[in-house]
Amino acid sequence: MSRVMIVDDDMFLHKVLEKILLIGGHEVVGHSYNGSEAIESYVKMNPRPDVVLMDHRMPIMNGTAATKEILAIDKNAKIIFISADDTIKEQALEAGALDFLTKPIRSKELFAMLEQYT
Amino acid sequence: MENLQLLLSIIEGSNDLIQSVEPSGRFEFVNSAWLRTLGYSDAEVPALELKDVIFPGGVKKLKRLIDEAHSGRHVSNVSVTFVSKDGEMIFTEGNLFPRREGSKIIAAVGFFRNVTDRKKTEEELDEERARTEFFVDLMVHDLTNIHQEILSTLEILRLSEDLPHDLESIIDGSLREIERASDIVSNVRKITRLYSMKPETRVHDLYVAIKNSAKRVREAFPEKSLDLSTNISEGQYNLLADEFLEDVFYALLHNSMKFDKSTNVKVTVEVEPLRHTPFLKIQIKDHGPGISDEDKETVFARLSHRREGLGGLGLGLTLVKKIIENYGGYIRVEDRIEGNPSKGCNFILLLRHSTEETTEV
Repeated sequence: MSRVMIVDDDMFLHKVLEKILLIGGHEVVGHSYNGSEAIESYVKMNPRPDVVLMDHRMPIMNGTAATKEILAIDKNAKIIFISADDTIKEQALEAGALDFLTKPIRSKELFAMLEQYT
Repeated sequence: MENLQLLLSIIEGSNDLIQSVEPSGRFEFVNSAWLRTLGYSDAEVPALELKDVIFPGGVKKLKRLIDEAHSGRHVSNVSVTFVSKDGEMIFTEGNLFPRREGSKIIAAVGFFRNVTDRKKTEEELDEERARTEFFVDLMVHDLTNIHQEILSTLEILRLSEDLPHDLESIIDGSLREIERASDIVSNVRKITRLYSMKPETRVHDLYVAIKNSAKRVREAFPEKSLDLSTNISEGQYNLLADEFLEDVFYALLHNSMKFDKSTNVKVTVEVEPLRHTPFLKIQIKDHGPGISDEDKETVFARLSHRREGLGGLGLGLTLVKKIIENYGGYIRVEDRIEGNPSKGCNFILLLRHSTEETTEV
């Protein structure tokens, strides 16, 4: 069972992802809708989430920028990108993300990735 | 005298703007095309100086280049923007060279080709390209998010214990259709990028690319097995390519799997460096029904408009060819057994070898 934080600007996606994660036996401990919010929430959380599911394209601050900031605060943070834009995979991994899933993803892919990294 | 007449008729018959400029900046000579293009009469030219007909932002630079010609140098590949009498910008490309009388340089002669139409077309194409990329990018991003939401919602239903049994196959079918729609969107993005962007190449391990493609193909055909053999190993050969490299091998292996009726599909990948060239020769040989000699001529020539061409079954051989050509490579198809098309295909790729270390992520 992983404690997961979801970072995506699409509110409906938060709902469905949370439901999927619950079905898979995971717990969603945080919701953020842009990179800047994600950093603020991450810093305040105690304990911190086991993994952050990060989108890239968001207003105010994108996923790669937020990833760098979070990792600067906590080098042990585990961030997995879930993005529609596979062209930024290399950028995301260079920013410090552990892995990259291209949307749309099936639940079994997501669960396998969570099992691998948590 | 005859030679002079000949020279004059060539100069006056040319569509290029030809001028001779004195060190003072005044025009010693301009040809008919110059007058016609810039909208001046012969009588107006003596009163003109160079700065009167050149786009203000380019006057200094052109004066510097003309000074070089006045000092005896030939100056080539000069881009000059003229301004016509009615204020229209005329884009030209040309050369400057000194005109001598005895040992003295008395003028700088310029030959300029009017490229305004070409430049305007290029700018329009660039704008159109940028607009297309923007809308495709937007569409891909937004549609993909919508697909994710629908797919996840269907999965939630599918995983529900209360789901009536007779709805299971319908939901499974819907999930497959969403994945298919998603593949179409993904392929549209790939196609747009193939045709609009220069490839951003980096070093790829050839063996790893083939292995990854084979894995994807096996997942696409769970009811069949792919017996893939190769004479290379990881780390042996690197290529300069972009993210579409695996799509090339995926498309070719996918075709082998699709068209071979047996459940155990055998494909061989043979690689050898071509001596005295920067190329690797990669031969992908299968045991399928092959391609007739007539079809070999056209198999790369048409963009597939069939649903399968975009619907998650690969990019099509035309696009495979485009990807390889973007790398400076080459592809053709022959018979696996020469002269016997029905015994399978041999796709021959020539791709540029790289001696750099891989930058695989």
